[in-house]
This record gives sequence, C-alpha cells and structure tokens, in this order.
Amino acid sequence: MGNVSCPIRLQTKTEVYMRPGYLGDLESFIDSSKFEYLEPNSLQEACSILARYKEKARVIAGGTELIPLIQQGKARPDCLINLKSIPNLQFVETYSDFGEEGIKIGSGTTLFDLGRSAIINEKAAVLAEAINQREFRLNRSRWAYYMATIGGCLFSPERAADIAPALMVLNAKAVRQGIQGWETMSMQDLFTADSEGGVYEILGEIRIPKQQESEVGLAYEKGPATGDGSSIGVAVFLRLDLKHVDVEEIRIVVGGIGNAPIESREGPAIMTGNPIDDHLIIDAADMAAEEVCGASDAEIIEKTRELIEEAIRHAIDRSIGDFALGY
Amino acid sequence: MDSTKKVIKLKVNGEAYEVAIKPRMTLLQLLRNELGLTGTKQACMDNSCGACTVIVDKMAVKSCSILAMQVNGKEITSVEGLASKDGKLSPLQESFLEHSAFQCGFCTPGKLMSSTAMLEEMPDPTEEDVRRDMEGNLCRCTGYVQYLEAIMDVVGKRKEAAK
Ligand SMILES: Cc1cc2nc3c(=O)[nH]c(=O)nc-3n(C[C@H](O)[C@H](O)[C@H](O)COP(=O)(O)OP(=O)(O)OC[C@H]3O[C@@H](n4cnc5c(N)ncnc54)[C@H](O)[C@@H]3O)c2cc1C
Ligand code: FES
Ligand code: FES
Repeated sequence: MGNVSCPIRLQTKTEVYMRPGYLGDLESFIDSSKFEYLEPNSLQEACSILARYKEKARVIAGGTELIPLIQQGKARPDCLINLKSIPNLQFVETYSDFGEEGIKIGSGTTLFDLGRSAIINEKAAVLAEAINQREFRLNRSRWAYYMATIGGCLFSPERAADIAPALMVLNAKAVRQGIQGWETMSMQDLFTADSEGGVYEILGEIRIPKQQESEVGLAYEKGPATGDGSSIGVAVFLRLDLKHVDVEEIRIVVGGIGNAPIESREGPAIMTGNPIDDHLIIDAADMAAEEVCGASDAEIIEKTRELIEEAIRHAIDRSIGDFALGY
Repeated sequence: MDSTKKVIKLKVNGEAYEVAIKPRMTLLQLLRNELGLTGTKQACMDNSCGACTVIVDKMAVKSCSILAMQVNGKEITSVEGLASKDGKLSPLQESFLEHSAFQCGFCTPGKLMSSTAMLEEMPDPTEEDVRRDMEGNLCRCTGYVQYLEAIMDVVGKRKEAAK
C-alpha cells in the first residue's frame, strides 16, 4: 500500500490526545458497550449466529437507528452482526418466477439508492414518492438517508409511518430467512410476526408484484411530525372502471398512528362501486380517519383526514390524468 | 495485538491507513483519537447537531453514529482534507472567512463538510436548497445568515467563472 501510515496505537488515546474527563461520555461508551462484531458471508450464516446468541445479538445494516441506541445504553448487544458484509443484499431487480412478475429489492439497499432507482421510479413510483417525502422532511438527518437501508427501516420504531404504507398498497411481500429456510409473508404479517418472540429471522428481500398499469392511481402523502409523535403517512391505491366513473377498488393505508400501519376498511367500503364525487371523497376521508385514529386527539384526526383526502384526490388524478381536474 | 481488535483499511484525506480498532469504535473516535484529526468535533452524540459531519465516499455523514468498521475500505474526507497540500483554503473555507460565518467555530468543520458534499451533488442550489440541506448542522452563536451568504457567494462565483 502506498503512503501507508500505521497508527496502530495500543495505549488508550485518553492519555495521548484527550484531556481526561473532556470526552467523558465517549469514554463511558467505550467502556459500557462491549460487543463481539461479526461479518457473516451469507444470510444463512447470519441466521446461525443469531440462533446461537438469540436475544443477545442484534443485526446491523445502516446502523442509523441502532448505533444511537447502543450509545445511549438502550441497546446492549453482546454480538453485532453486520449485514452489510453479506454480498448481494443490495439490489433492485425485476423478476419473473412461476408466472408472477414484479420487482425485488434486497433488504440492504439504501433508501438513497432506492429513491434514485429507475426501476422503482418507473414501476413503483409510490415507493419513491414515500422515500422522497421522508427525505424532504428528514433533511435534518440527510446522513440517515445515505446509510439507512430498507430492511433497517422496516424494523425501526418509526417504521410504521414512512415506507411501509407505500409497500402495503403495492401488495409487497417480505421474504425472511431463518435457519430452517425462507418464508414469504405479507407486510402486515411482518409487523406482527416478531411480537410472538423467539423468531430469529432476517429480512432478505422485498417483492413487489407487477402493478396493473391503466385505470390505477397510487399516491402517498405525508404530514409534519406532531409534537413528540411521529409524522403521519398515507398511501392510497385506487382503481376505476373503464369509463373512469365508478370506483372499482380502493385501499387506504395510514402509518404513524400506532406501531404498525393500519388499513382502513370503512373508507373503502363507502367508495367501492360508487361514482367518484366530491362528497364521497370527503365522507370516505372522514370515516377512514375516525376509524384508524381511534381514541387519538382531535388535531391528529383532522390532520389524518386532510392527508387521506389529499391522497385520494391525487390517486384519482393519477388514474384519470387530465380528466380528473376538479377532483 | 489485542485479539478483540480488528484491522480496517481506509483512506483519510488521501492518505492510506491500516488501523487496528475495537469493533465498538465510532468513526468519530477513530478520526479524533486514533488518527489525531481533531478538526471533526464531538458535541451532541445523538445525531442532531452535525458538528461531527465528515464525507464518506462523497456523502456527508455524521461520524458519531457510524462504526469505524462500517467504513472499512472507504474514502473519508475530514475538515483537515479540504485545503490543498500547500495550505490553500478551499473556496468554501475562504468564503466562510470572508463572510465571518462563525464565531466560536465549533460548528464550522461540520458545516464546511456538509456544504462541500452538497455542492458536489448539487452544483447550482437555490438559497432554499441550501437552507434545507444544511438544516442538520446547528450553530449556537452566529445564526444562519452568514453561512448561507458564504455558500451562495461560492455558487455565484462558480457561475461567473463558467460563463
Ligand atoms: C435523528 C433520527 C431521525 C430518524 N427519523 C426517522 C424517520 O423519520 N422515519 C423513519 O422511518 N426512521 C427514522 N429514523 C430511524 C432510522 O434511521 C431509520 O428507520 C432507518 O431506516 C434504519 O435503517 P438502518 O439500515 O440504518 O437500520 P439499523 O440501525 O442498522 O437497524 C435498525 C433495526 O433494524 C434491524 N434490522 C436491520 N436490518 C434488518 C434486516 N434485514 N432484518 C431484520 N432486522 C433488521 C436492526 O437489528 C435494528 O433493530 C431516525 C433515526 C434518527 C437517529
Ligand atoms: S456529534 Fe454527531 S451529530 Fe452531534
Ligand atoms: S459558530 Fe459557534 S456554534 Fe456555530
């Protein structure tokens, strides 16, 4: 190696560069957070390590959520398993398996790469929209966007708000690897699977089935954070009949209210089979907001209502294009 | 060597390093404590102030929240790497000086690194772009006007030069 400087300094740097006490919290971090750091070469290997250490191990991807938790002493793993060492965990590709087509995304793909992926922007634009709106609001932590992975995002506490609603309206599936093998599950199941405990599986990829291209509108809207709470994100899928008059199918998924995104049943129930109409949109947004917000305060219900209404209108615009003016 | 240490290779400000570190060491600790590059500042340690910002492979990142192990094989630029070898300051550094864009200067290395990465990615930003992009870099004394003027001045001069 040219120009190699070799600063292997085995004495502690407190003696050399730091005034004692000046970086007290840094020193206590060094002392308190002792963990073994492992770099597996495959997901199977990572799962075996996880099965061996069980709850004493944590997998790390971008680290934007986990490192601060370790620094604050809120997570104290004995073993850290770096998923970034696994080859082929960062990809966005189209697939065609057993007659099903779509896009697959490796769990180690960064939000930065996803937001700029031509495949995502062309075939799953609502996901790019969710990522970009998250980034816009999150520019305070622009760094997170560069490091953060889609896998880490789906396992962080704020997961419910940002990316998940968009994945849910796209009917995305999560593919998890355990020591026994692969398991494919819906996004809803991914959010509830771990609550039973004792499951040491790692998200390997996300599969988004090919979307019908005509008469369909997908939209994502995000509001600002409410006080200490996370911000609310709404994703809508809408399919109109061929005459662009009646709503054939609509899905409304709201994130940021609870631990997992919530899909409204009542809003879609009053819209499905009916002609699009301004009052219908407002009534559906009202009902969906009341339903998903439950006992939340009036301000949150109102914000959610506004976002749902906006997302429905955008979805209509997108499914009918210019004809939608007025909605 | 301590058996719990791991060896990583990286480039910092153009120099190649091979360093034996404990896995729990953050990039900030590596720069300050192992490599003696104390220009990168430590403040909040919870990702909110931006004082510790450095550039990793062209991206501005907060070094307090990245493990040194995560930058194995990567190229890092810290504030010490902005000036040329003969000590000539970068246009942004010059402009920060001209516009007195700091008082105590604690936030300045982070601000310089964020704005350097930003201008790499977005050569012709608007004032709004700059304000938004720099939101992650807090300043407790100077306020947020002078650094904006300093950055926009560099953008303007670049445009003039390109004519
Ligand atoms: C200041 C700040 C602001 C933030 N704002 C937001 C926000 O607005 N929205 C938001 O969504 N998040 C936010 N976050 C949380 C976090 O940065 C993101 O959710 C990020 O996407 C996490 O990705 P990562 O790759 O860095 O995850 P990591 O930090 O590496 O991991 C996060 C969690 O996911 C687990 N994990 C990672 N990959 C996998 C996998 N493949 N399989 C199973 N488990 C896995 C880890 O064990 C860990 O528990 C914020 C964090 C900070 C510090
Ligand atoms: S010290 Fe890293 S963001 Fe404040
Ligand atoms: S100049 Fe003092 S913190 Fe910014």
